Amino acid sequence: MMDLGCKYNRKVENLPLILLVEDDATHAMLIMRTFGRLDLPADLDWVKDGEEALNYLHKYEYEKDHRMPNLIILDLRLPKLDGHEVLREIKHSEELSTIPVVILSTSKVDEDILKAYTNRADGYLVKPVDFDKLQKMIKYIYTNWIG
Amino acid sequence: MAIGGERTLVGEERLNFVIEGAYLGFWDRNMVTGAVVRNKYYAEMLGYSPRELDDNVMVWEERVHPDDLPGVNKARQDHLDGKTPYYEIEHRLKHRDGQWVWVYSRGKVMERDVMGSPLRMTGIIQDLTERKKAENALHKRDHLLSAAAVASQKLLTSADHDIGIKEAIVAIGLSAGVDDVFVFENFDDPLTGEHLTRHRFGWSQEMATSMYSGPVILNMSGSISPDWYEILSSGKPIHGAMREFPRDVQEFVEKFRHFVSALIVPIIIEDHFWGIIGFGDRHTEKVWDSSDISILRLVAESIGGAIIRNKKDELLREAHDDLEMRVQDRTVELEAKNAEMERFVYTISHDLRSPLVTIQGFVGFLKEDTRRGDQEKIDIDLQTIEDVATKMDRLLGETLELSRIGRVANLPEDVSFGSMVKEALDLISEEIKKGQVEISVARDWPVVCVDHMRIVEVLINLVENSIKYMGDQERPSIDIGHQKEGEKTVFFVQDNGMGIGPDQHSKVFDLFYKIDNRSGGVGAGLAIVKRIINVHGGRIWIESDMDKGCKINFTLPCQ
Repeated sequence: MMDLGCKYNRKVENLPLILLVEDDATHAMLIMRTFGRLDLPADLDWVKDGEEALNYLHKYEYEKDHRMPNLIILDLRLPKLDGHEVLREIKHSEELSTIPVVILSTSKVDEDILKAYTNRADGYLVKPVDFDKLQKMIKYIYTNWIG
Repeated sequence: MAIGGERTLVGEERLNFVIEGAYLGFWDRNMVTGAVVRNKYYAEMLGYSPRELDDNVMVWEERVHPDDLPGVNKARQDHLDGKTPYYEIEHRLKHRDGQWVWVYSRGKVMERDVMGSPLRMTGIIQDLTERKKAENALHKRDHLLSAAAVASQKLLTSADHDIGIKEAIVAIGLSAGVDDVFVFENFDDPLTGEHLTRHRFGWSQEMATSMYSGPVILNMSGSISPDWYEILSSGKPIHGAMREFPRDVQEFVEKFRHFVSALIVPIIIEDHFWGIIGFGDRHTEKVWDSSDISILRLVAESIGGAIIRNKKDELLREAHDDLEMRVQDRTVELEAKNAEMERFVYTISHDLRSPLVTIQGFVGFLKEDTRRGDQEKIDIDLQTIEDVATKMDRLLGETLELSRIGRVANLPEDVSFGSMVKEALDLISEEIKKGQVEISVARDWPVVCVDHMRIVEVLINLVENSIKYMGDQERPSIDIGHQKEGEKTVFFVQDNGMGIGPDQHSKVFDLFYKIDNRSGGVGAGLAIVKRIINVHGGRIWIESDMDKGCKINFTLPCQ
């Protein structure tokens, strides 16, 4: 079982790094266990709100041997700082804008989707209420954005 | 001969008898000499004594009205020629005083000579004055009636009764042959209570459209013979020569219109003496007859009708506008409610999907773990599913309660706010103790008119929230009090916990919004609190900043 706390230490240098921004612990567990189940080689870091996410990202901007994530999986409904806000900040920052951000949200409302794309999200996926679909979706995300 | 003479005498006597009885004029013309014998009545009819009416005075061509002369001559000639069995015609004769008298004349040639030429012609003549007068009166009445009909029609069909009345009095004035028509409206002086009346509408022969300028007000009570007010308000007309009217009226009329005689008819609307309508004559002391009075009465009633109708139309219009406004308000209300409902449904469907994602996900994992027989993982899977299901249940429960708050409201009652605070604190005493929170409560609470249980619920929620979000505060304390803001009392629950950043202040009341995920609960608490306060007609707002504690204020208008 993966540690559910925030990790700031790099264990393995050459694994792709994925930052998961998700406020629901059970969803985070689902996603991370899926990565394990599908044997997708990646390092997953999990933060629970928008503020923590930005702290995480900015911290590594200024550290000498920083490692930026290869991918950010971002939920929209977050406490403290809304997911849309986080997205906007990332995509407006010179250093961070190159990181692909995929929205993974329960919302399938047009407003949210359009707003995300306006703020330059690289992808938008709706969390499925179906186990198989979720598995496929995670696989797809990995394949498409990590390789 | 004697016998014949006797017979003739008796015959003549009898004739005289008959003629006298019928008040007929009699004439007997000698066609040869041209001499005419006339009887007493003939002469009297023209204002002469029999002796005075001789052939010098009675020059036919001068006596007969010039317009009638041709007709008279023709009628006579036709008969003399034998074309007609009788000479018969209605014409005018000049009376001694110069007036024309209408007469009916009928005669016949009585004797002709052997050649057939007329020798003697006799006939009767009858005064038609009375009949003519009656005819004229009838004509006039017809005329007036049709004018009244026109007036009534105008009054009935006009949208604006002012216009209707103006048109009506023009119609009446023209056909009544009077100099003036006037309408006055009564009103009471707001200060003295005197009955006054003011000129509203008028028509005058002289001017095609007459409008008197300036206010013309007559005091109907006190100064004038109070009889007038009595008489008119009981519905009776007043008429006659101006010189017979009370002095004040004369003075007033002098200034205003110089009538010589007038006819005044009251306008009574639903037992209320609204005003008067009248005719005025500036030249003669006209004797007002029943036609004039009837017609004016008719018009007065029509005017009354038009005024009532107008008033009722206005009331209808007002009621209609009022209704429109209320419908509009209600529509806005409904639209707002609808929008809220939509947001509600959106939130619900959104936030209920989330646990379902978890459940389905973990059921999937559970199947695999069961096949593999990984008991540890199975336990975790099952626990997770169970927890999420419970959370969903709570979510649904609180959502239901939230929707109920809007619909089912207990009747508000007067209760001291302080007693509700005490009740709330008693109910959560355990949590307070556990959190080691120090609570201070103000004194001198006002009485409010609220749904008692709901407000207790609000207080419980707010205090619980404060306890939950104490964060790292070493000496957690909560202060419950009230303060005056102008006329209103503002109630508050203040804590020294971790506070809420300003950007979150509005979100905090959203359904299912959670400030921090570490705390338990589904986040519906504050949404419910807000709902309760709003339903009571109050406002709720936050004063807070990060690490600076949190103060939640609210008002309850029904105080």
